[in-house]
Amino acid sequence: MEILNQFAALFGNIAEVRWQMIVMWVIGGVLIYLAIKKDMEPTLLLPMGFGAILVNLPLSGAVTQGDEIGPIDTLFNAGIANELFPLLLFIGIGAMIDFGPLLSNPKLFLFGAAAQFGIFFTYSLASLFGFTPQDAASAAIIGAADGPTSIFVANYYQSKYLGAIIVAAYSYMALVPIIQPPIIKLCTTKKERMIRMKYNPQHISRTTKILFPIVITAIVGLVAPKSVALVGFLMFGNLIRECGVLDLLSKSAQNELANLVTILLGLTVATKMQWQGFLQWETLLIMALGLVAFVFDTAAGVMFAKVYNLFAKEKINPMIGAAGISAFPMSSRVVHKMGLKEDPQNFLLMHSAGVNVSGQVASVIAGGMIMNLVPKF
Amino acid sequence: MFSLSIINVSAFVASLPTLLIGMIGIFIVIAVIVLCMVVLEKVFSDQKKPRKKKKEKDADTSGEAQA
Repeated sequence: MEILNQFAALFGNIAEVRWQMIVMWVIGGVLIYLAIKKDMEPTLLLPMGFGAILVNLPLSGAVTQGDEIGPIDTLFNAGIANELFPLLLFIGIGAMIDFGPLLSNPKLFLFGAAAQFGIFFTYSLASLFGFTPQDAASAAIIGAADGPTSIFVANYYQSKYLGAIIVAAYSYMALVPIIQPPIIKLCTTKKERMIRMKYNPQHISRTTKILFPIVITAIVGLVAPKSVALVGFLMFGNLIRECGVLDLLSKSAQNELANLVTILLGLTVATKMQWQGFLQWETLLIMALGLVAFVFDTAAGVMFAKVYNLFAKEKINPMIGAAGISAFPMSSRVVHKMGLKEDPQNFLLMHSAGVNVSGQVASVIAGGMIMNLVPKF
Repeated sequence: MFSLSIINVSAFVASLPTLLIGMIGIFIVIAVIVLCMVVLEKVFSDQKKPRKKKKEKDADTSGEAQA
């Protein structure tokens, strides 16, 4: 009898399983499926999916249980609570970005600015639904379409919806090829989609490419000091790429650093996917608000381009406005493909890529603006 | 505290200035950046170098001629 009791105690944890945990296992499984089978942002969805399973096992040793600090919580405190992981990832992202097409045609920067409208519109919408200003700002920043910025801002506001925000941000970034085309088609006519754009690349001097990240950091930092870390790390990455004397560091930033941090980031954010905090009605609303942010980002970028065409002698294809969201390089490829579909001779990639990288910078500026305008408490 | 039953119109109205100021702010910052980019490229353009080299060449040539 005693042996039976001991045997029962050995497998007693199985009795701690709740239906909410099973739901989270399914969600984790779906993220893993999307990552592997559909190739949707696998670098993040796969670790997040697996992490969601890890943290939702009963009495999981991966997270803190009573006095025992779990390793995922340790990683969270070491890298996300203090914003470190997103910032390190930004160094890698900055090192990957070529600002050449943008510097060649600086007016493309304006479309990146316009495409941040969805963030502020969603902030207002979230306020309408009763979210506190801090949670509204955290939900709205999903529209930045940028993982590190979303994590940075949501963590700054210590939002309890951090898990939902991160899942939404990365999921929608992966769904850009599905989300954007219908919106773009709705906002444009066939004739507009067929507008051809000539690409006349200007040679950009090395000095300009070196000074660009420094100037951007200074300007944005002066206006939005809370975003200095975000923009600074991004531009530092770009500087080590462009300086020409740190090739090894640049390659390491683009590869080893980015990959290592991505592994840790994906697994660590799962600590916010424990069922107690994740399975709430507000999570669904956060996901919906995130989608609204993406939709209005896309629409605003396209509409701004259409307004631009009213005054411009040389018309631009308004679709490139949609590439102003920070989902780099997915969004630029979506616009390019849509252009080719309408006219196989219309190559929009370099223009949309220019707008796309401008969106990367504009989203960081938007994050800084939000942090400036919405108080932390 | 969030509740689906509360649609907070006053909070929505109160958030509109943030929307306006935020978007205007982004455009102002971007405009300043664009201006800086244009100035940078004008000042540090590589196109000046060939003219300098030509001037140096002319100076060398005239120096040799004098010698």
